[in-house]
Amino acid sequence: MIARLDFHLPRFRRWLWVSAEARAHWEPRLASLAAGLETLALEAVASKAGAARLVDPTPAEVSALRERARAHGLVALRMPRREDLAPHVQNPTLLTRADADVPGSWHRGDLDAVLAALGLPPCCAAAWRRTHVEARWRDGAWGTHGELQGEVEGPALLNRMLAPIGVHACAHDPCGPRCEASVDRARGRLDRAPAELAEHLEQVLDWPMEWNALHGVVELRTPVVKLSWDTDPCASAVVRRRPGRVMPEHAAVGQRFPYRDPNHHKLLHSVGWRRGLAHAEASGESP
Amino acid sequence: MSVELRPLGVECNLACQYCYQNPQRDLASRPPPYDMDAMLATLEAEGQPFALFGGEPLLVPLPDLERIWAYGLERFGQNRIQSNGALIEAAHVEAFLRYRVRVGLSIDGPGELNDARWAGTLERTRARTEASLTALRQLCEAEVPTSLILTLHRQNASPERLPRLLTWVRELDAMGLLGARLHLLEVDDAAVGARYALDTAENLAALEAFAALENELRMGLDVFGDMRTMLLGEDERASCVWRSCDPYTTAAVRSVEGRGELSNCGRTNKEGVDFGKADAPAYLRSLLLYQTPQAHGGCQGCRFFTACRGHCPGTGIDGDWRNRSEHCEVYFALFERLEAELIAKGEEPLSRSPLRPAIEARLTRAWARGENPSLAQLRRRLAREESSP
Repeated sequence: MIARLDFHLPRFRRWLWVSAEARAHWEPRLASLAAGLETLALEAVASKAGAARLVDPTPAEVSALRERARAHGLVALRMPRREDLAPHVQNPTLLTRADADVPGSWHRGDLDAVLAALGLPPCCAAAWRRTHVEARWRDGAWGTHGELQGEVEGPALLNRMLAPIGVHACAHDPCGPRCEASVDRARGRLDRAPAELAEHLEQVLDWPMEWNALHGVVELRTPVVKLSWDTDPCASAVVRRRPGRVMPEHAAVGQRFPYRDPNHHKLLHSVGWRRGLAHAEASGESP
Repeated sequence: MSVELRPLGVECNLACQYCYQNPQRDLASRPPPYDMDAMLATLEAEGQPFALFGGEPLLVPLPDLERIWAYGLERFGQNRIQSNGALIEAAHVEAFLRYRVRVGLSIDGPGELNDARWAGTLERTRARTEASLTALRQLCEAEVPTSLILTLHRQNASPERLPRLLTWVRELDAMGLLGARLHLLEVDDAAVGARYALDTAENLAALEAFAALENELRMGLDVFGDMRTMLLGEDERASCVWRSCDPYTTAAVRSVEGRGELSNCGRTNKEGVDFGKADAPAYLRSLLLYQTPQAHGGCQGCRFFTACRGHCPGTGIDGDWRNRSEHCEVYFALFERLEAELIAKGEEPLSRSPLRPAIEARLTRAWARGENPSLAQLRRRLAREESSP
């Protein structure tokens, strides 16, 4: 059982690049991927393929968000916070069409209708209720993976480890890492995406990566960047890994997963090094 | 803040078994040739006095060192270097004097006390230790301002060896050494920890012996001085380990690498990856430790929290900066001792001050905003507020 702590850190996102080259290469590409996916989501709402998106902007992000909604003929409606619908969303904002009835559902407290409008399949809507409304987790990752530690199985399409920076094929937190209904939705989303974006996204989601949470901070390690953001505080470290099949360009060599393995350990496997350890051991036995 | 110039990165002539740079050194290929112009341009942009650092910075040829020091002398009126001393020759000593270079030497003691600063074989290790000790004597004789970093471990501070270490430090004091910084061993590798780490009682006994010795010495031992100033809320000159270091930006250490690029303090680098700095500092570690129960690796409720902040993130329990220091018990006991001494002298340490809750509240609010005010600033503000009508 994951022991939770009763505080919350302020919202934050931090990036730590493994090298200047990795940053120059991947920072614009990841930003472009996130922007392309957001455009795709807004186009889906505008074309009635979906009814709405629910977002949680910081005050500084609101004006740009409204601009982007307007550019797609949509409205960005700030909704009242509701503990019975989305207690984890601090500034609930619906991006929707002016004629859509999802704001009404929100005001009526009709969670099923809201989640259906957001495109969640029934199994994931039930998981939302369990995770956020009943168990009061803020971060949906806790709902998808529950008590899981270690390797995450399931298709890369459902990999939401990069979702906090807007990089995901599945737009909602699935009820589990193998949810077939979520795979169908993610696949449908990629089918609507430009081929280049879809291909690029599938590769990034298939990078090896590690999600590591402790005391309210997630560290997400990829071979090119370490990301960090706030999550629900847990008392001991929870570590989940996706082995991945695609090693990105400019991946760092490192001592551990998910970095590239070194060709050799210049120091720590050397004869001279082991001789030093043996000497210390002998000294300890007969000071 | 200190700027460290590392022309050759972590390249070193020794292979100290406990070095916190080993995860990087183990993976590093030979460093590319440094770019003097790029390094000097970055130093100019930093606009702060800097220290030559490594690895071992004396692997850089003397003419290049002189070019760097000539710049440092002209721009900042001083220079500094941190070295193991084994490569110091007469020409270096002359250059130290000419360019006003203050020298920090990393040596853990004479003879076998320095064996953890390993050089591949016992013969080579002892020879390099002798070279370091000879250099230390030469520096003191030439009146080059010299100080020491001394790491405490089983090879030099076990109960059997500690008396000899203390004697050696007395001798250095008589030779004119300016000061020493005591480090507890940072354990990044289980095999190293098993062979070299002292247990809590042994660490504490060693530090208490040094605290007692301090009264006899002319030179200062900065760990105790720092802890006293932190307890008194006079922290503006205290070392980074007590002042809420952000492991993603390590504000107190800005390393300028051989191509002029900036990197972080290596103490938090457990992965062997030379991460660049994050774009902006954040004080999340202090914020989360303040709220995390001690039973789970945090500092909640500790009366020394404002003075300690969980110590260096590089020494976090399990190698994780989101935990407090693995040396918590040692520092807690020392803080208790220093607190009692200050009270006996009529001082009021923050740990016993009625101001402590107000200071903690202001610190945590500031950290949540991404700021890290000094305790001295906060105390001045509180005093102003109390005196204003």
